[in-house]
Amino acid sequence: MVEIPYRTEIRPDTGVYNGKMGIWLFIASEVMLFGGLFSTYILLRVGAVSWPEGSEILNVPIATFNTMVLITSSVTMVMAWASLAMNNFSGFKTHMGLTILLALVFLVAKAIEYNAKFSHGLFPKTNTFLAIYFTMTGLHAIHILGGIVVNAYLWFTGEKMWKAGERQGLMNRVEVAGLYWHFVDLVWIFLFPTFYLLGGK
Amino acid sequence: MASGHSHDDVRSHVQSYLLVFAALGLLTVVTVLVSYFPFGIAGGIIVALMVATVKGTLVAQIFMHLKSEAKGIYGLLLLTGFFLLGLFFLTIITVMSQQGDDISLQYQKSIETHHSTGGH
Repeated sequence: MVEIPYRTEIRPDTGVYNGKMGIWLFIASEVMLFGGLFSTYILLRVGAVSWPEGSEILNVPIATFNTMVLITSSVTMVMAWASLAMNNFSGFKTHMGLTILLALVFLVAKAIEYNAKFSHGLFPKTNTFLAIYFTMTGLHAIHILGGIVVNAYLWFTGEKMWKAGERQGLMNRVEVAGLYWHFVDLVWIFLFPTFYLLGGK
Repeated sequence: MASGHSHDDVRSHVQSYLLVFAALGLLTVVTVLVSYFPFGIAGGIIVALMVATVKGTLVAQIFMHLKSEAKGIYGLLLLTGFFLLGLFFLTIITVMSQQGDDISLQYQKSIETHHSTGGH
């Protein structure tokens, strides 16, 4: 069987294995996606006659809690990779499991937040602030969901790869999934102050 | 050559992960507290972005291992950063060219022009 090149070996011209270059390319495209939406936010805000203070409309305590949840999930994600690097498979299962759990907690908190808005008659169509808020945090939530699916796949199928001796292969997959996860955390680190904490006009 | 990491390397990395975790927690508290300070609109935006940038840098450098990453990745990110700045520059240029104009008035004018040229 032909081995896929540079799956675990470092490619000399890029300096990394192919999966890592691939995920960074994907992250670059995601930077442009969220960057475009942040540009939209800037244009809408500057062009608006008035703009609400985030805390007037949005729930800062829930969002602060969610920020801590995502940061913690980033730590558990990198610890999952580190566990594999230190030959500790059960450590990987624990930390990856925690990452998935924390991600679900984030989504539940987001659902509670959205539901509270809807029950008060606040929808994306209500005003420009809410339109861009729901668009950006909604897109971010979809990215979290995607991350949960990938992480859950690795959690369930990792043992098979580990026991088959494909340890470097599994480590690389977890590292690549981790890079995506940290990026999703990074986006929230910017979303949180932008929508929840900035003053209005 | 496999992309290996020695146990000792990773063990020392674990310490830095936990330190960064503590720093990120502290900076989150700072982010919220600072929003209550009377910096004004522009000042508030600058301070919030500065804190977010510090947090983002810690995540990128330590969690995403950018600190010790290959040149190929740095090159890719430099290119991405260039295009992202270009995107923001386009937005700022658009805003500056409309400075002082009432956006709703511009929209009104564009509707009137459209109707007068026989549009529907």
